[in-house]
Amino acid sequence: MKDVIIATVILVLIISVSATFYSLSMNFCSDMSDGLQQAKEALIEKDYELATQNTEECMQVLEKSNIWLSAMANHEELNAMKTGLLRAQQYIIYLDDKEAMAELGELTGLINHFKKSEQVTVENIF
Amino acid sequence: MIITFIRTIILYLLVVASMRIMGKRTIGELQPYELVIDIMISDLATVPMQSTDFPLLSGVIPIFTLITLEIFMSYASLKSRKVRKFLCGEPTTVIKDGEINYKKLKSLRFSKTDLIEELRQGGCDDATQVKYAVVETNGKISILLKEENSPLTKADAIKIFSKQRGKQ
Repeated sequence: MKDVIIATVILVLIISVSATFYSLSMNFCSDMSDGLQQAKEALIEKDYELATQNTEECMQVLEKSNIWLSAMANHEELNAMKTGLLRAQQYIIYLDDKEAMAELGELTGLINHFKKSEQVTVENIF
Repeated sequence: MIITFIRTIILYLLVVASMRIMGKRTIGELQPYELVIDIMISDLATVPMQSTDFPLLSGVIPIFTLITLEIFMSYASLKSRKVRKFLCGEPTTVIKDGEINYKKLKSLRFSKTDLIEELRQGGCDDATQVKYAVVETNGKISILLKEENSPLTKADAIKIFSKQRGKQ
């Protein structure tokens, strides 16, 4: 009986940790997607200052989430997000619209892929 | 490098704890599904141990899930005969009163050679000497020899001596 109680506690912990991580990752994805979308819109309007600010905000979101994100996501994927964001920032600073847009597009794809892979769907389960 | 070292310590402790929770049985006594779970746990621990790209939790969560499922299933099999039958199966009698049941042997995918080999290991060279041979749920064969073929026990010796004393 003692073992069953331990197992139940472990199971409840696993479920609550998974649910917390799921909710945190969904919030992270929506914050990042919004920031990247705003940066894209600012680039279209040639507002480089605002675009830089938006990418900076995205970087802050990434840094803030890094503690729990690195505990659950593939580190390679996180590194790709970080380097992509840094590259996009540099392209915006050097006023290279095309490269910056391409980089932001790639980042949006990465975030969408991360969001999709974390969702509880039949596709992901199987 | 130090990260790999720390991760290895954590996963080692986790695997040891999981084996302790699973119980004190040796490999030969494990049910086939328990052996598979043990192998799965050790395999799951090696992935995050080797590569720091994988989060530690990607190994820890499946290990803990397997442990909890194992505990629940063991408890259920302890409480319910049906669950025990589903998980472990039932012992099968392959020899009864010296006669081999080939139908059951075939259903267990056991050849006659395997059976004879097991009998020899059990100290018997002919199936006709066997009263019962049962394939247990863990795959081992229990052999019960016929009375005339079973070795002399202390009780038999006492009986013989008491008979002799009675005659005297």
